[in-house]
Amino acid sequence: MTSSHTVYTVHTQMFVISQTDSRPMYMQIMEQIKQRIVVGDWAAGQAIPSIRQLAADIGVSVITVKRAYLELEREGVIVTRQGKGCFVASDSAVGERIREQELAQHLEQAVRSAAMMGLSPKNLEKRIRAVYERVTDAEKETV
Amino acid sequence: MNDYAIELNGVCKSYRFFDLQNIALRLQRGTIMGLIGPNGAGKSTTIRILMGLVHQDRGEVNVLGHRMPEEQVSAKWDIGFASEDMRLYDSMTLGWHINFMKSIYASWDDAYAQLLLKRFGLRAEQKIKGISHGQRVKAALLLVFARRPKLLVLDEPTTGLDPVARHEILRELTAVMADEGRSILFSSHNTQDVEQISDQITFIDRGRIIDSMDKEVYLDRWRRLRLEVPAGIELPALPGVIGIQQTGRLAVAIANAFESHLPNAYENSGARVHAVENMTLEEIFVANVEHSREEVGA
Amino acid sequence: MKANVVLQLIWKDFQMNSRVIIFTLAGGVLALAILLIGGPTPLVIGTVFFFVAIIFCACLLPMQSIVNERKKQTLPFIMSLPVSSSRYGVAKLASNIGMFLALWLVLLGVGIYMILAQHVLPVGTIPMGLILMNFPLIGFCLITGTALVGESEGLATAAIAVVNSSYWLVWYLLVSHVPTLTRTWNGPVAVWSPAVFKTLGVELAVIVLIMGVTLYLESRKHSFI
Repeated sequence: MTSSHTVYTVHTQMFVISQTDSRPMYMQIMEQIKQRIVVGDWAAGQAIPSIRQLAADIGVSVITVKRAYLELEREGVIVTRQGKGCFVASDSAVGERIREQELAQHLEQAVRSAAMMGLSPKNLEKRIRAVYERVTDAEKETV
Repeated sequence: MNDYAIELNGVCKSYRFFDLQNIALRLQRGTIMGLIGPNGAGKSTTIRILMGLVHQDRGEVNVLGHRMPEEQVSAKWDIGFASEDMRLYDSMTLGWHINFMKSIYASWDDAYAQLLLKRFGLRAEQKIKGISHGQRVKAALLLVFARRPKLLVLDEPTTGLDPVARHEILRELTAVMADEGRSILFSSHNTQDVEQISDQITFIDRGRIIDSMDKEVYLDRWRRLRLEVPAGIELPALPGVIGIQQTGRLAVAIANAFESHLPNAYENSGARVHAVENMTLEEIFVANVEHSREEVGA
Repeated sequence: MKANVVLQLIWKDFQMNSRVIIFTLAGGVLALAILLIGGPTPLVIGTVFFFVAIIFCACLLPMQSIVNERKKQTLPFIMSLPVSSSRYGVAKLASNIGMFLALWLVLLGVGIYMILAQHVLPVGTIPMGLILMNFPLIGFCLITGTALVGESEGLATAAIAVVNSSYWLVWYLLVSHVPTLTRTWNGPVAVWSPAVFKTLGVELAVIVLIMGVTLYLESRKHSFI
């Protein structure tokens, strides 16, 4: 039992569950799994730890990891194959897709805030363009 | 063998100043349940009843397929029990205790015991008399963990431990759950611990179980809504909302049966929803106890 | 294969209380050695110290192994093991009586040796000596039973007080009601009269009764911690 333990610790020891993070734990786990996939630590199609294993490694309850896996499966980020375990989705664009989803979420948030302030779509567009220019300029400077 | 490691039905126990009323509890095999409640709520009594140490006046108690208290001897072979009020023999060394457990339990895992000694920073040749409170707690838990029992019943396992020691204990508990045949029931005042490691949450207050369910479902049902209430608008009483506190134009509503249409319902009444926030178990704990006491008092 | 937990508990008590037993044993033997000096004063001092040692052990052993287990909260640890309260009671009675009886028998043996081989007392004192030796044994059983069933330091202390102040009373009643017992104790031979057997029989019956009542009450407990 203890020997199977060491197999994944290399990959999972960096999971951080923070109490100052106001999101529920399962969301924090989802995000950190996505990060691993985006940066390429967990490659498309690669086997990932079982729910019980990851729970034991992070030190959180099984049910929390189970929920994170379920949501990730629903988003198409990971797949569960009966009797074989869990894997990162095998399409090579999975990292791209996660970034896409994140962007969509941020945009939605921005639009909601804008709507609450009564900002017109035109004005919002202008604001976004301004932010875009400022950020890309800042990046040019640092390079 | 049924699917439950622990099953309590209609359990009652009366004392002079305290009653445990109609306790029903189910712990599924392979899961870990956190028992929370204020001081004197009945957590320890419930745990003692399911260990067969206190006999219930009424009701059925079944642990690992054994009727309690009648079959406690067979049940206790597979239960690892540690409680806050449990002490080891002062005049003996930890090593003596280890040998004592070894002489009783064939399941004793010496390699694991050695590992835990190192991990917990304990030494076998130390007399219990000379070690700190935290080390005593860890020593008692070591004696339980190294048996690898099917069921762990722990009454306040992290009380009085420093953050590092607490973290070590929580890690061992979650490591136990890597084996799906094993189950844990533990009580704690530390809602953070319960939130982090339990699959099921059971809330006890004044001798009654207020809630007992899946942790994710449970946390999901509770939300805090931050509202802005324009002048002249009165917040409606909505189902699922257990309390509203308003000062000036800002209000906070606490929901214990949150549904996604709840923010819309407030918007429709003329209020504006600034935020819908998840609540920590600690916040839920306080809100829940206050709410249930109001109900009882009303 | 499952270990016999009752035996392990008895063995544990032997380990933990060995020091009391060894000290008492040393004290008892030392007291008997005083008799070797000869003369009436050493005789009185030796005999008194001999009984004091046994009575001391009869009080300390149950206090240490039963009352302290509850007071120092090691009882929940023991009750987490696969034992019921009645089996725990059996183990406690067995270990305490085993330890005390072992001590008692050794001291009795040394005492008889002193009489038969060293002639410190007339041989006729042996039956009476045996009857007297049973006093602390009965007292010990009473204290042990009360400590086990009573679950409180106060009750155990009360039992000790009652037992210790009763020794002289029982002795007085015995001598005044069965005068035949003392008639032959200065003689050169041990006389095992019916009165002696009857007294020993009553003593034995009392011991069995105390143990039976203790086990019965122990098995009827509803809350153990």
